[in-house]
Amino acid sequence: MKGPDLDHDHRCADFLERLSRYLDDDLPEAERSAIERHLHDCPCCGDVLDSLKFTLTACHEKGRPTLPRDVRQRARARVNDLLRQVPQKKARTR
Amino acid sequence: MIHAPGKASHGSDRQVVVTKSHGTNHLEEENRATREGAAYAELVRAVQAGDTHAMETLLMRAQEVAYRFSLLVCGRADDADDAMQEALLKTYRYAVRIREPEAFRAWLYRTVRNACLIGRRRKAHEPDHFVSLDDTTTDVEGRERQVDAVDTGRDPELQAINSSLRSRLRRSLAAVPRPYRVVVVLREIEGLSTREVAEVMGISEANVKTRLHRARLLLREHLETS
Repeated sequence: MKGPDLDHDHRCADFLERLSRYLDDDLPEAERSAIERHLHDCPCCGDVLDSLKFTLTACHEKGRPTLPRDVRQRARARVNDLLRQVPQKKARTR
Repeated sequence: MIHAPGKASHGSDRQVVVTKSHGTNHLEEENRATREGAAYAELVRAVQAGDTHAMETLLMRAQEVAYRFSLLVCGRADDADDAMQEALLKTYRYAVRIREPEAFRAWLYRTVRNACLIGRRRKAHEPDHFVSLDDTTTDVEGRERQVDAVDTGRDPELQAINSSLRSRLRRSLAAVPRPYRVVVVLREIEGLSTREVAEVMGISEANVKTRLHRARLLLREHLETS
């Protein structure tokens, strides 16, 4: 019976370790190529890569909450109050 | 295989969200951060030239940053007003005298982070209170309102999927330990460069990269299982 493929496991661990730098295109060419060869052979690591891309795209596209209307109104009122209190000349001082 | 990759399929929400190739290419992200930093610098220069409209815009943006940071990092959305007030006053005082307008954005996030930390210390005995997107609260006139604006698209199914994803994302962020959460929020949601995150946090760029790597994996794990 064939034992566990320790070399393969080692490459998976290596991939996880370098995943962020791979995504950020922050790896030397040789390391990048080795990871791409591993991804070709390892669908599990491919899934991890896909789900991390999904996570980060969700952050970029859906991560920023917008101000609720009442919070925005209070923010606007604070700005108006502040600028009203301060003489115009002072606001223009460098 | 030594790691659990999580669910292989993400259902229809993955199709909705991933509308473009992944945007974390290092150069692309750094360029985005540079553009946004430059936009702040431009506003600061206009303020220093006496443009009151630019001052209004800058003061609103400072408060928006404080609100988002309170909500996403500090988990004290009910205290966001304090952080917004602090950001407003400090921005007003600082914008007219900063010598390097390019440094303004990192200064703003550092100020907001400190304001949130001070508020957090004051209420150290209280647990974080993360506001879910599902939560509704009542405004001063008694109307219910949600934390996030509702999608304006016409497809109700798409709106529901997007809303559910935002909610899962918020819960997943809340589950990431704070030192990692701060870094992933600043980098991936607020779009700061690695250098700016290092300045805000007072740590090295190498440390930012290490924390960011861990934070991304933790967030992925929580989002997969949420």
